[in-house]
Amino acid sequence: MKMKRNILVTAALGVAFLYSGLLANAQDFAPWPVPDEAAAVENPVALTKESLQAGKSLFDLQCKACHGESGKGDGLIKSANLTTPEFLAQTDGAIHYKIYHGRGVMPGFSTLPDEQLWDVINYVRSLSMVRDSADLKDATISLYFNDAEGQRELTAKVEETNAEGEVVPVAGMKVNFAVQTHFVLGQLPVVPADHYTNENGMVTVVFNDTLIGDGEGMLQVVASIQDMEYKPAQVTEAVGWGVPNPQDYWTERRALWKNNDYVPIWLLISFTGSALAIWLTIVYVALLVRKIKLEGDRYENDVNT
Amino acid sequence: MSTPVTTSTLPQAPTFEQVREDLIRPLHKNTFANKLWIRFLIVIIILGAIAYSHQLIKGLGVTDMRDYSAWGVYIANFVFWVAVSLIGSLISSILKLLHQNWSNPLSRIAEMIALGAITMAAASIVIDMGRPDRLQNVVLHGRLQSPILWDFFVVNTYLVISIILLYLPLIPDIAILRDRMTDSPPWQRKLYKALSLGWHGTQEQWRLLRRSMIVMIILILPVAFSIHTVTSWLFAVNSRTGWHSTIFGPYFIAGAFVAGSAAVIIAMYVFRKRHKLQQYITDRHFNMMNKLLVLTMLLYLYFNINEYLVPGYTWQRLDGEHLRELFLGHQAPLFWLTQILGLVAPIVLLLFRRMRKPLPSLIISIFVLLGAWMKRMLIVIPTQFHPEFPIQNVPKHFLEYIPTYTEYVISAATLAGAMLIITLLVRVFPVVPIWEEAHDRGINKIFKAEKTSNIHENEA
Amino acid sequence: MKDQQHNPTNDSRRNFLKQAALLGAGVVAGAGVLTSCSNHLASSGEKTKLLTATGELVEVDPSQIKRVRKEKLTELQERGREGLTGHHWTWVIDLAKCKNARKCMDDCVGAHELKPYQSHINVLQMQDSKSGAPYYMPTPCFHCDNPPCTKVCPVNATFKRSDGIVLIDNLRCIGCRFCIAACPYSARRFQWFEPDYTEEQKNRVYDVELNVPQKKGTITKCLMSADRLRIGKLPYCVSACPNGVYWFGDKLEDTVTNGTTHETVKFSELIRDNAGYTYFEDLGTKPQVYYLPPKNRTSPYVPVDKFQEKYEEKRG
Repeated sequence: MKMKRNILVTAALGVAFLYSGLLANAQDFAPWPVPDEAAAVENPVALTKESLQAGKSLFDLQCKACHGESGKGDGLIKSANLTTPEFLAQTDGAIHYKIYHGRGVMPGFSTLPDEQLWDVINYVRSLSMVRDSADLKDATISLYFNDAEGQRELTAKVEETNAEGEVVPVAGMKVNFAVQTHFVLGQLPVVPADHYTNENGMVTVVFNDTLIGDGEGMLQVVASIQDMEYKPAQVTEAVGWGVPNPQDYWTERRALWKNNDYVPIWLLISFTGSALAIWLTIVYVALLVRKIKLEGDRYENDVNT
Repeated sequence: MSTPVTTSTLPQAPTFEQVREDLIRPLHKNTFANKLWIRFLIVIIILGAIAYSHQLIKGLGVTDMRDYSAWGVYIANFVFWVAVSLIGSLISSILKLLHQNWSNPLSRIAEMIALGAITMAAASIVIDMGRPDRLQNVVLHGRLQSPILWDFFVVNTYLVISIILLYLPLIPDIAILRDRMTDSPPWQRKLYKALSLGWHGTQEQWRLLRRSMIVMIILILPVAFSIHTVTSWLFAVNSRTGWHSTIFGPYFIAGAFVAGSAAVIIAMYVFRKRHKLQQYITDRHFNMMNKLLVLTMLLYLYFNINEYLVPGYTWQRLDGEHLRELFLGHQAPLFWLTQILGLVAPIVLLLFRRMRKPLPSLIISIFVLLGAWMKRMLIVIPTQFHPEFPIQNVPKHFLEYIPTYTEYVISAATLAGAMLIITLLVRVFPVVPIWEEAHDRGINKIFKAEKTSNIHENEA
Repeated sequence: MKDQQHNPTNDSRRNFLKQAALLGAGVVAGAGVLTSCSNHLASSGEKTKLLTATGELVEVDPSQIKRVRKEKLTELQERGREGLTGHHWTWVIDLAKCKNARKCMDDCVGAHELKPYQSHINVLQMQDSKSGAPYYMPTPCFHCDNPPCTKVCPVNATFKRSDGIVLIDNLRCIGCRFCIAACPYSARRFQWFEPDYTEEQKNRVYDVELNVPQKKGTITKCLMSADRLRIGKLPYCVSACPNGVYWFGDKLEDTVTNGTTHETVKFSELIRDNAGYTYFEDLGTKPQVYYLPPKNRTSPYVPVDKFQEKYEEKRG
């Protein structure tokens, strides 16, 4: 039996070696030929700030996990470096072909709108332009709540300090609003459309979501900016606009699956009841046996005297 | 040894003294064969202890149990021993309450088997634990909701009740031994002296003894039924194919009576031969015991049909997989051998009077008992290989369960342990109750103290 | 009212129950109960000084002192048994996304110091019917709301916390493996051998929320990475997935966060819009891990056998 097992194992090992591609990713780094007609397709989306921003959102959602924040292929699994000269030498059409079809662990994104794929390509190309964080501008963001006239409004204000040292508003800045969950990385978007600051650096949105807050109904509202020219910034403020968290979801007080402090009453009574009845009977018999002994002692005394 | 004692050497109507001497004669001499037998059992137990310490040090991995066969031979042994132990209640309690007096000479054999078996059942469960060093947690942190706690309670209770039920009818016999076995070593004389409780057969002592016996005979019934029902619940409470069955309680109890009856027939044969008790354990006893065995086997067969036909008829997804494996798959040879050689064939054979004679019934009973053990394996193990989700990403040998030598040696040691307990018991106590035998033959002379007792009462 | 939290006002009832349990066990052990009861009843007339929890020094009759059988638990055990208040963790697994990358299994094995075949999360190759396409299905513990495993545990070694996680305390476990038999989802593993630890690793303080160090002869199982949840991080497997399979979050808060993209959505909407379901509801286990159906999959199909070599056990 053991012998047979060993042979099976050896066979399995052999097969595994042949097919180990998926684990080792060897094939994922082999040359990836692209048909000429696909490579010849031109990027129809112009390289604008909007396109880059849209591309970044999609990149963060779909690509970052493997290719890493900076696109160097240092994400959760070993993947292609998107900043090498070899990569950048490809036409946009070739990159589009690869994103569209996928290969091995790289999924195909044929279900996404074509325009979004071109946005991503624009963004990916921008990744290789080294942006030192020191080059990015600082902006501050502040958040205000307005609950007047039964209408809940969120107002965010984005400002920066200009060369003269004056605090000036930042106009046209996209602001994201979200509610912070228990998880550091978990921010639930609220009023999800795109919102840009006005010339005063302000943006005001109507908040009419019904969300569950903490025990007192407090929500941690987050306003953040993610811009190509600015360092990311965010502000978190608490506001009692949520529904109080019920805190407890268990309905049954005693149950079979709970610990010994919450034994169902029927079980407690029937178990201890029968246990007691049985053992009291045993004790009764033990007392009878003791009486037999006492009777024997008495008889022996009688005989001796 | 070679010439069997024929009935002609004994008078047709023995006196009380003859019965007494016949039944305590085997206790007088410790034969060479007996010493050898005890040493043999001890060697096996030591081998088991070595295997167990190996298991303790290395972990349960030395068995072939793995995540998809988390219970193996040890649990099958546990169920088997619990099953065998139930015979004590059948013969000493149910038959007594039904006034089946023919079984009186067999009651002590049954009680000794019950004691040996229940001890080994308790041992088997400890052997199966991954952390036996934490056994105290069951008492310190026990959860009343767990069937294991119920089992822990009933096994211990049944152990105590078995000891009491063995001991009570022994008291008058021990008094006889105390008076007659004056040539035995001092420890044995002291033992008899202590255990006889100053028994002199006074009327009051008889009254107390009768009362305590009747209480115990009734008390053992619910406890015996619950011990095996709870054992069946260890399986039935899990929503798994082959286990999650409402008839598991009665199914297990019927199976237990089969295993226990077979064990008693084997023991009857051995003691009748070794202790030359042909006069006391007669062909009639074999005849009756075998009829009882057939009755319990018919009941068990009925439950078997229920247990397999109903899911086999609907053939639900997992039931189908499980039953195909049993009926036609890897387990099929073992399954059909067990069902035919261990159940159907014995029923048919035992319908013939000639097969209910001592020797044929011994052979049949051995098959029945082996079948009973195999049946427990077939109940415990195959089910576990049919979980809701497919078994994947585990080493290949996780997909089958073949007990290792360690498991077999430890299992053999529990068998030896049970036999050692029985052997030691019959070494110091008569295997057929003397006073009951005398009473049934109407030659009872051990009520001698009644008069004194009466006087005593008058004085008081 | 947090049922499983330690609550001092419950102590008298606890003691009663403890004594009731003790009685059951005590009759087995002997007459222990009788002596312990008489301790409480007999009044001796002498006074004993006692420091209360609030810092007051009081004098009481010794007969009035009930010796609360304080369970000897380490700080980590105590903490691990309490759970995170106001949460009910849930998990949504998108079968359409799983491509069998098995990063989740690798990280699980790494974090909990397991052998590859012991991974708490197991990616299965499934095919519902002959005509249906095969797909991959990660199966962690389902952290049922009516857990069959904690029902049968004889020693309260496995338990369900107030935040819904079913954990295992391997300092308590007696290794009876009843929970393996009871779990319909094959979510539990047993340490059949001594884990490969150095003496130093072996002697680390045991963390219930991580179940490390692993111990021979005890159960190990998926814990929803309770140690990570405590610090506001997603479970190991969830954050390891490169394919966006896992959504993890809080049912009470009604949000789930994707472990790969960190997108956060409302749990109820995700389940409603994508026809989320749980496995084997008919068993009455109320599983808390939801699945999204395996539709519109883009990944190729690779049979599972090819991974076999990773899961071979070196037998001693």
